Amino acid sequence: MKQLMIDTATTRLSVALSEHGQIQAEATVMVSKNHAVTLMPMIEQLMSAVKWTPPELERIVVTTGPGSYTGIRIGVTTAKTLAYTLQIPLVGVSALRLMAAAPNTELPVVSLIDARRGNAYIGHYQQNEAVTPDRHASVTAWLEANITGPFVVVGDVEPFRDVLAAYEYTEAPAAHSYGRASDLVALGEVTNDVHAFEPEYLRLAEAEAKWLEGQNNG
Amino acid sequence: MDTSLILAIESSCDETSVALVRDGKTLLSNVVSSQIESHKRFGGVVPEVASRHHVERITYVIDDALSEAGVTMQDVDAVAVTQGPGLVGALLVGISAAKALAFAHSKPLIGVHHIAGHIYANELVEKMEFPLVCLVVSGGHTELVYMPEHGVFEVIGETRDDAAGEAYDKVARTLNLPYPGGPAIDRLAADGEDTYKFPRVRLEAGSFDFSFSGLKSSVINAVHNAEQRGETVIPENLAASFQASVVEVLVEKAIRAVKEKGAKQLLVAGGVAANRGLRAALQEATDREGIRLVIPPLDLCGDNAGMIGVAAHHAYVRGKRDTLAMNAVPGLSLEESMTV
Ligand SMILES: [Zn+2]
Repeated sequence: MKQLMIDTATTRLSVALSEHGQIQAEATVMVSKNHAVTLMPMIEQLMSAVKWTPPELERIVVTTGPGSYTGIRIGVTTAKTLAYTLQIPLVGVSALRLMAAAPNTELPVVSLIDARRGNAYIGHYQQNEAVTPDRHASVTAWLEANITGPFVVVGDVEPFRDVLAAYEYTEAPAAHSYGRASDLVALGEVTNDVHAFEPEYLRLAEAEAKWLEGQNNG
Repeated sequence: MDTSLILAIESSCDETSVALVRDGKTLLSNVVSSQIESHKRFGGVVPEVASRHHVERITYVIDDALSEAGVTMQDVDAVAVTQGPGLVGALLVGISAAKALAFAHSKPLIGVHHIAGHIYANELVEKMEFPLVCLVVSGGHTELVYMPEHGVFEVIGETRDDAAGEAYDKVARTLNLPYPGGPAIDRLAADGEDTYKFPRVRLEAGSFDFSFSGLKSSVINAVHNAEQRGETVIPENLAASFQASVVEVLVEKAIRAVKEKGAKQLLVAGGVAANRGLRAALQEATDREGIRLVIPPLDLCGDNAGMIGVAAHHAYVRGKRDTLAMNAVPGLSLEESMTV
């Protein structure tokens, strides 16, 4: 089965192709300046390198977020439009799950995407299974509520080093800290409805949150 | 090669729209999914909310447009999409979808300027005859555009501050009218009279530029002064007076541009082209002056992909092609947009 995998959730842009579970091609830009400009040419280049044509694709896997709102919209819109028009299955995977899949460990893995002001998008996985659901939360509060033993941390570690100091954690090596599109090869489940497939922002748009607050107070 | 079947996508603001256009003349379909109900609660378009809605709706709208037209992607010659101007996050959803369609079916990709689309909506009413002048009036734009031929745009006048549509929205807010403000003022004005005699801002002699911020302030001051004196304003008269000032300046400059440029047609484009007061005044003035006036029907004045498909047809026959590296350009220039 010829599969295209896309990750645009963070500042990394990663695309991979697999056939029968074997990676055929992969490209990752570690610090992508503009996913919108780079994504489609990158897909085109990898496909032509392995001599696949678009109608040969049989499945698409994409990270649905959380992460950069614009980034995940580019990835999800590209993936769902391809799956729709080629009439092939579409698989969504949490960006935090992808990150947590990278280190080879039996310990729980905490994946972090910085959301500023002490907050992060936080994933909590063990051997690819979610221990607790993905959250947007204060890292301090989340760690207090959810962590008791040793764990591995991946992703945006730097902004939270002070908070993490109180815990028994190890860091995945930099190369394994965000995962790559090729790690998506065995993750996720096929969605039933490509049209209704949406990003997983984990947060309301700011205006929407304020509006709801107003509704509840008024 | 002047035949084409183009699938066009428009997502620059708060409408998700996809159309199939034959030969730049016939709309086989023109599906518009409006978000206006969602944005009403915020009193205006919220960019992040608009972008989210576009992702939710995009493939539904593509699918509806194809099935309504009774064609498949195999039949399509090119995929066109609004490249700018507009909200960057919103534009990127349409562009990502357009690239995916173009790539999946090995079709050319054509980026289109949003305002070029509005101008080309007129081609669905009457064949464009050059040279022509187009009055562009919308929420973000007030411009007089001179076109010597297809695909060549020369902006001969533009607003120096607020767009006409912006002034409408701000005046509507002052009068506590619901969003969107333009149509609400137009309705009120129909029942009022120009009693306030607000200034007509013509700028220096010979200029085709516009300015509406002074007028907007005059209206707001009139409301505040009345409140301080404990008087109540008659909203109908205030709306009629405001609209009379806007329309008089727009019409006068448009007519003068047509004469000075020897234009064969005066076109009107953009959301404010739906304004009844403006339509009536333009009709009256062009009849009097013997000028050929073309205005799109109401359903083609707002944002829609049909107009993008018509503009794309003329770009397509001229050989314009974009690469899969095309980016959204929120401040895209009209004059450079159709360069092949
Ligand atoms: Zn528009």
